[in-house]
Amino acid sequence: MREDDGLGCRAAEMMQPEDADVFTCRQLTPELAAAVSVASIVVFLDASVSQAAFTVAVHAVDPELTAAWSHHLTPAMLVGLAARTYGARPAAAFLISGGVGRLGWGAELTSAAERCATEMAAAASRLVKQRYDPTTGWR
Amino acid sequence: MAHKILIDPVTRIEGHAKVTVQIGDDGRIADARLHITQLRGFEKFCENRPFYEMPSLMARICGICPVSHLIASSKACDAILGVNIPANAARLRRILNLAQILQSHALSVFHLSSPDLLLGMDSPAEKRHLFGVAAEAPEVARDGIRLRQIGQQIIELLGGKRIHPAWVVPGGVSAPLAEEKRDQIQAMLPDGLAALDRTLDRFREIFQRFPEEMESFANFPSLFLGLTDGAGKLEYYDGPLRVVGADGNVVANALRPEDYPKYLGEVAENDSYLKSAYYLPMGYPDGIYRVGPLARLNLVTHCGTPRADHELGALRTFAGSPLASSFHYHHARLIEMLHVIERMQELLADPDVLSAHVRAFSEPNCEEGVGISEAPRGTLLHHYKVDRHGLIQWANLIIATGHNNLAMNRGVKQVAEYFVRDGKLSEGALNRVEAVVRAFDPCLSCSTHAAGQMALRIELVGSDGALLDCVAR
Repeated sequence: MREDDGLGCRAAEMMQPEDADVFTCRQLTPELAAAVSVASIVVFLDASVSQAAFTVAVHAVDPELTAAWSHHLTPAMLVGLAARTYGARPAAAFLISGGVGRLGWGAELTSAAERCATEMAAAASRLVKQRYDPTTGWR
Repeated sequence: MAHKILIDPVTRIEGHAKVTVQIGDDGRIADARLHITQLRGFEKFCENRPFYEMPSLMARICGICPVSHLIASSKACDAILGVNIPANAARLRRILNLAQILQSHALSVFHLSSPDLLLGMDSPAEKRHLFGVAAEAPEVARDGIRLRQIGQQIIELLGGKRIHPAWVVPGGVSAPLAEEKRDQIQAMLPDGLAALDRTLDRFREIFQRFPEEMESFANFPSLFLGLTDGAGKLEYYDGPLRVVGADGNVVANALRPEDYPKYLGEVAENDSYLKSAYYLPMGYPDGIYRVGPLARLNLVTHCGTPRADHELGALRTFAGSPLASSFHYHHARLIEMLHVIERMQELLADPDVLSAHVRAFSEPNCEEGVGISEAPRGTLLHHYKVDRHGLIQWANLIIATGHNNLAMNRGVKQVAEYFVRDGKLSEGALNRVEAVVRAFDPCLSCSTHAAGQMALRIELVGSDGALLDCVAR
């Protein structure tokens, strides 16, 4: 409901179901740790207010194993929780962030944000399709 | 020297609150108060909205227990319509409510309170959270995640989404349950029972490690209030309201929801946005009562399902009946989780659960409606008045956490008196002051919904704790 705040969800909608299992949520919760623990690669898609509008950035996510947590889970904390709770974690995890342009009241993205979401989805698909082998790295 | 201790914010609860502990000149606890620092205003901004919007509007009060508001609100709207909803609509709403209780109790027990119970109240704060539980006992973390997941998945299968599903509507529900979804829900439930069996096997012994907390955590005589099924068993969706005394005897039975102004009073405090509810015939504050899991178990002779009954019997053998210490809220939540899964199995086994007759249609026939149901945290009441066009003219909500406000405050003071000694503070003592609040599992976002006469008090406290100035209106 806050325009470009929906960048991550929109990019996730654009993912092809054959590429990956796609989970859409407003907030990362502990219940996602089970799915994260059995994935080979996890890609988080989210809007960002700390980068230039409509730019796309890809960040590696290292698991945070000793976090103090109350209400807010970051991607690193979620991957760390998966490792702690299930003894397993993805071989690689990434956060693809899209810079927001406008955060007014509205259910639609701005048109520039729509293009940004397309780029985010394309970047996520490339990461997933390339596959990552923990012994040999990226194929 | 007199001074004040401030715990701000209270951690591992839903919503925002602070606790002030006033130390007297003699070093003893003079007072301790729980302050709710959120202002929401739902009762005001829904005025002039069509009544049929209320379930969706009121669901937005909370992201943890929106289903509770959907159900109480829809029941109030059913009364405005003047309809008896189809039997299967009630059945489906009931299943949704049970799933809500399962996931909410799982959050409370495993995510919010298990760090204290598993790691100890005096364990370092940097480890006393879900990650610490996962490191110490990953199987407990897994079971908690799975139980919450089961409750949320059932809500999603029934209502279309996990948070703020739009499925519960005035007159019933918007769509029947498909057979394949019924089968998916049934398939999950044995997992939940197995997780609870493991949890109870572990936690029965863990609870015994806390005799001081059992003694001091809001352990005092009070009334208990909630719905029953009218035959002495647990009921969460619909049934007569009962009040039971501290001695376990029935004080009032079969109270009608629409008569609540005759037996429930509310008072606003000047240092919190949370109103306090009390039992009117006994006055304020003597009419203090508790609601929620502990109270519900005190209202009934038995749960009504075999595993839950067995566990309740064991708890009563250990702790007595009625259960007085609010520390037992944690065990009560686990018993209720057992019961709601068993109850969902019963309801889903009924072939009529797939009936397509799930909604009654009408125009408004009454200008007033009251809906009461049991939310995870206790009795929830929605009361609306509409004009002849069905536009909301007035709304009043009494939330579970509001029912428990007096008890929470008394509990905070009791724990502070027990554990904060000679003005000496330890992390464990402060954590216990927070933990007694957590035992009630307050939902503060839900409970601070009032607007109108705002209680606002600003205190200026010096670095030495002395009160320098105060402004109130």
